[in-house]
Amino acid sequence: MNRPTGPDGSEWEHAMSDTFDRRVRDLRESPLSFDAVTTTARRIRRRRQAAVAGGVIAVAAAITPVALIAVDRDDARSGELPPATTTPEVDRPDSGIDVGVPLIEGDTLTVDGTAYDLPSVSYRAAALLGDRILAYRTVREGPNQGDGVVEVIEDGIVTDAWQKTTPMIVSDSGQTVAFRMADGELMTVWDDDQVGMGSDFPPDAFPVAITGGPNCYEVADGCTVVFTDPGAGVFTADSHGITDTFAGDALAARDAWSSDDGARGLVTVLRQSGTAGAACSGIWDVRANEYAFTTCDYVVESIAPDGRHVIATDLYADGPGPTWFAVLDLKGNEVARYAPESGFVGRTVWEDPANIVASVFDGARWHLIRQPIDSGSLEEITSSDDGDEIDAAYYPQ
Amino acid sequence: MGAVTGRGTRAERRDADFTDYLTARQPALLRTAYLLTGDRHQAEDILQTSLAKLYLAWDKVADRNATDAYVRRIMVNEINSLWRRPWKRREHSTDVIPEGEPHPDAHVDASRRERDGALWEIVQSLPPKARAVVVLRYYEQMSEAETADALGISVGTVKSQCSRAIAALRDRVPADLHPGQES
Repeated sequence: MNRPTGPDGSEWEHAMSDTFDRRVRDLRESPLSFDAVTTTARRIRRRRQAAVAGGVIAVAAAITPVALIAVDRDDARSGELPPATTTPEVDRPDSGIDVGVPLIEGDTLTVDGTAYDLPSVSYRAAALLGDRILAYRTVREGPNQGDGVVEVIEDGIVTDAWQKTTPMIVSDSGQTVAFRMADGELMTVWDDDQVGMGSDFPPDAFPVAITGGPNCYEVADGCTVVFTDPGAGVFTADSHGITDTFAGDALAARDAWSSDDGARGLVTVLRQSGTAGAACSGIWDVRANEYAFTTCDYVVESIAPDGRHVIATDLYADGPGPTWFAVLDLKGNEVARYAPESGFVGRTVWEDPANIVASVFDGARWHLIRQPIDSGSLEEITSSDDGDEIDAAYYPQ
Repeated sequence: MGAVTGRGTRAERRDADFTDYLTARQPALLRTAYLLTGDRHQAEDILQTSLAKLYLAWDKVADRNATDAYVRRIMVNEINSLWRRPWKRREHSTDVIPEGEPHPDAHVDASRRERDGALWEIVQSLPPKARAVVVLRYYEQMSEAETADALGISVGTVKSQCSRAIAALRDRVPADLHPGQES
């Protein structure tokens, strides 16, 4: 027994223990039958499935009940239980990390300073949608090694999953996610609803960014998903069922942004180079139907929330990643640059129009940093001994 | 043996394992649920939901020795959820032990029974999380680290919640009922 004691108050601790013992000493009943418990379990399962299935019965068959999920136990922490946690509105621990973007750190997802347990450390994308988390990971071992899986996590437990998906993408608002299912359907999910946006796309095409929403129904907000079709180019698919190809020399899309009213749209792309061996990139202005600028000096990545700047990285990064990132305006002018003294840059995301959050590895430790774009006053948010060159300690979303 | 038979056998074995657990551990879990809620009927409701969630996750609970901890954590989470519903906040515990409640030991002396009553009343007045901390710590005899892990809070929070609970007892339990003052 591990009876608590203490130099001060131990008599009260003993008193509480004794009182509790006496209070329940005669409570020796087993009022619940197996049937009663399993009836409740079926009700809970129906409720969860109804919440996940939403109104899209047609795609329900693709959702795998929890009992059928082949859990990648090697990805999970050995010997540990999937943590049973609360729904998001209940009392949750403060993560202690002051960062304005969702952050995956090990088996924790932090959103707005609140920590949510994940069942394992293997997730690379996650979004808190209403009272559940949708998270993406790849299977690391076994016959399905390399397959993508999007899992629905409630109470810290995987309750449903889509198997063999493309990587899950999350909208800038964090309220909508998208991915292609095993049957090719483009699935969008938000809050407690979801809708398929068609499957008549090239078989290898995968979503890269999603704008609009959060509700992707055509009669509601509507969404536009930007695809990369390897070897063929880029295109968009929207809730009206319209697909559009654009930027004829583009090889792949990296990110997309649209104004709140949907009138302006920008897409960052990798494009074919003019000279052998050199890769180029650019920002495609959807409304103008032309590049805002192109460059062969940078790889342009994510666009700021206000659409005024873009993160750019090292064109010729080798090894584990680029050694610096820069900020460009929409004319392609460099307005800021950050380079760690040693090591490399992991993932970079916009925290707001004025700040970038980045994961940085210095060769020994991972750091989460905040870089304002209008000054050099770098701020370290936190750091960790976890992770290595391959698996980062932090995945800002 | 065909596939259908094979699946049936596995399901039956699974249910048998769960039934064994239910039979063996239900009384102890009910006691914990009662201490966490302070109400027999609410304890049964919480326990039923928690065991149902355990049943759904049964195949994922790799370490059977940790199953109780898993259920306790679900129970605490369920209670936290319950207490955040506005209609539930309006309910108050009573001094009267309703029918079906476990009874304090009839053999302890009167002053200890009186102290038990006062202490129990104060524990019931604690916020749900603080009550969960003291129940896991002083009834389940979990260490500070185990309590922190079970509740998903820091060890520092466990210490501070315990300290506050003890301070409340010192302040609010009549002096002649303090431990060591029994006649």
